[in-house]
Amino acid sequence: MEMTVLFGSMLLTIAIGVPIGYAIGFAILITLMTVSHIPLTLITQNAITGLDSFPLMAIPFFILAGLLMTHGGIAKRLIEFFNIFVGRLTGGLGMISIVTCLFFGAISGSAMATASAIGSFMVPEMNKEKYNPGFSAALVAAAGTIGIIIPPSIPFVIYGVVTGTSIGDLFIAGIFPGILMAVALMIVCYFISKKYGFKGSGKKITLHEALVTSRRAIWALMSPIIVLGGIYGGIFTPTEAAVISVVYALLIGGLVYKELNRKNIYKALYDTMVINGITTFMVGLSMAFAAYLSVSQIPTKITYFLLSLTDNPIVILILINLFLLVVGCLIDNIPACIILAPILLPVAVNCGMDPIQFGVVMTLNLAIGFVTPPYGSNLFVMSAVANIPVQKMFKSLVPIILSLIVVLAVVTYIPVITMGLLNK
Amino acid sequence: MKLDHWGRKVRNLEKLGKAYDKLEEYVLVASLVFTVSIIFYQVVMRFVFNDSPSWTEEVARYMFIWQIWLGASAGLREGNHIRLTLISEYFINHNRLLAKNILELIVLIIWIALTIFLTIGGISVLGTLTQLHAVSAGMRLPLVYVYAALPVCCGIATLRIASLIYAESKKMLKGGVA
Repeated sequence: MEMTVLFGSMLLTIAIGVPIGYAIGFAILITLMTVSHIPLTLITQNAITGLDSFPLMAIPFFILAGLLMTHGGIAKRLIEFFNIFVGRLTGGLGMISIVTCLFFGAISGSAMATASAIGSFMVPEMNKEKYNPGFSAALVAAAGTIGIIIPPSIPFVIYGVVTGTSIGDLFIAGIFPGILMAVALMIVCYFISKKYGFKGSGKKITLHEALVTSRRAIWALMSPIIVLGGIYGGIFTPTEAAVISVVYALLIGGLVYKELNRKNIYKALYDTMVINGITTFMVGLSMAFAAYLSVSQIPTKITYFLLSLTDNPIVILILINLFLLVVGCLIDNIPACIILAPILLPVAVNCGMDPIQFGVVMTLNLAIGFVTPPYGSNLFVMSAVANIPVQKMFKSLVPIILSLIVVLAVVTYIPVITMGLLNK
Repeated sequence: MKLDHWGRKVRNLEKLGKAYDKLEEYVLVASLVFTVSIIFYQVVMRFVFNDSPSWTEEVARYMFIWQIWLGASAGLREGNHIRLTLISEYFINHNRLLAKNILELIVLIIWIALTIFLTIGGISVLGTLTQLHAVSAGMRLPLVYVYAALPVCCGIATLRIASLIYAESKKMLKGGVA
């Protein structure tokens, strides 16, 4: 009964268009007022205590670092740099976009920021070389999702805080899956480009040019090393690493590349505060949701239900993946992670999966959701950047999404890909 | 005559609202500069002088709570809260504008119900905290100042949603405007 009221009111309010965070709060409020005896202060208390977390503070800092790096000319230097290596291959411009997204993902924690930073440079270039506009937009939309698997990653921070797992470990576990995504997309890009004759950049690069470009890009390339090296080496916490990358972005964007000024720094600061507000307040209300779930033992009931259907872990993991893929088509990854992580994690652990690996699997599912219609944030971003309707991308998306699903299956069933770098 | 009087009142309120928006923007930007600076200071102190200050993390965390709820309210002004708009887009595309206005009003009423609840609930938590004289673990800061973020920011959000309800009802009364 309480499950019907809780999930029913939540789905209904989300469907009619109540902002998702408030819909979560409204659903708990209705449930507490009608079928439960838990006092309403559960919500107001958690709205503050649920946010009182130092690890969570990594979110605004990583958003800010990403925005500063975008305004500060870092995306441009990375593109020029990777042009030296993959620019002349078949589908070279697509390859550059993918590799640059992989690297930019190691700076920014957001899929949408990655896609728009790289797409606004690369899509016009690809269209100039007669790439199919739907294909180039779809490719960058998908490559942008690598941004949330390659550390740093805002969804990993949220998963870590909601489930109490180590954010540093999640970051490390995301490295190989992110590289696998890039490889899968490059394979798709290669075959499609070969079929339709999409060329590389065509320009011959002299050794001298290569050296100059590399020297200019070196500061951009150093950034992931500082952040990840710092966390991995135990020098700073993820939150401190995020602050370090903010300071680093200010230094190179302002003093070396000289593209940051008072106006765009101010804009980056204010945009960060708004994006942080509309995403992070949901964590507070979801903590109330998670507290309610555990008091009323709903995750346990769902686990028993699933285990009563089948006790084959392989089948259960397929079911979880399918469910998450469908959810990813409909809602944004952050609210989906906040709502579902506390429910599904016990089931996954029951199947013998490590919470860290499950965090990567779950985020990967929801990353694919960024490029699946009808609700795919990266499709909307690329539709705006490339100035084409979302429907034009659908045909090219089919092989791209299939290749990402192959990566998902590999990451789900081969634990060493995520857990290999961790000392466990 | 009477309408004119109301119109002037609404315009004055709008002016006040704009001034507040600007203030909110400055406060958010300044507070982010501040939190970045003190956490950077914390890292430098530990790394260089091997002596981490005890107050930085706590101050940053409490400012963060204010930033979140104030930012969530600012997000309302910018109109970029994360929501599904499939149904209302369907109504717009099929030229059912009145239906769109009614749906939007239902959404806003559910939304304002929650912000009113959080404001009132937040105030009652403040009452309890004052009675208990609750203070923070590190700096012995009265927790009332931290928990005040919820009722203050949700109160402002309530006013913003109220003005959206006003605008949407005007559209509905005109017989449906996108």
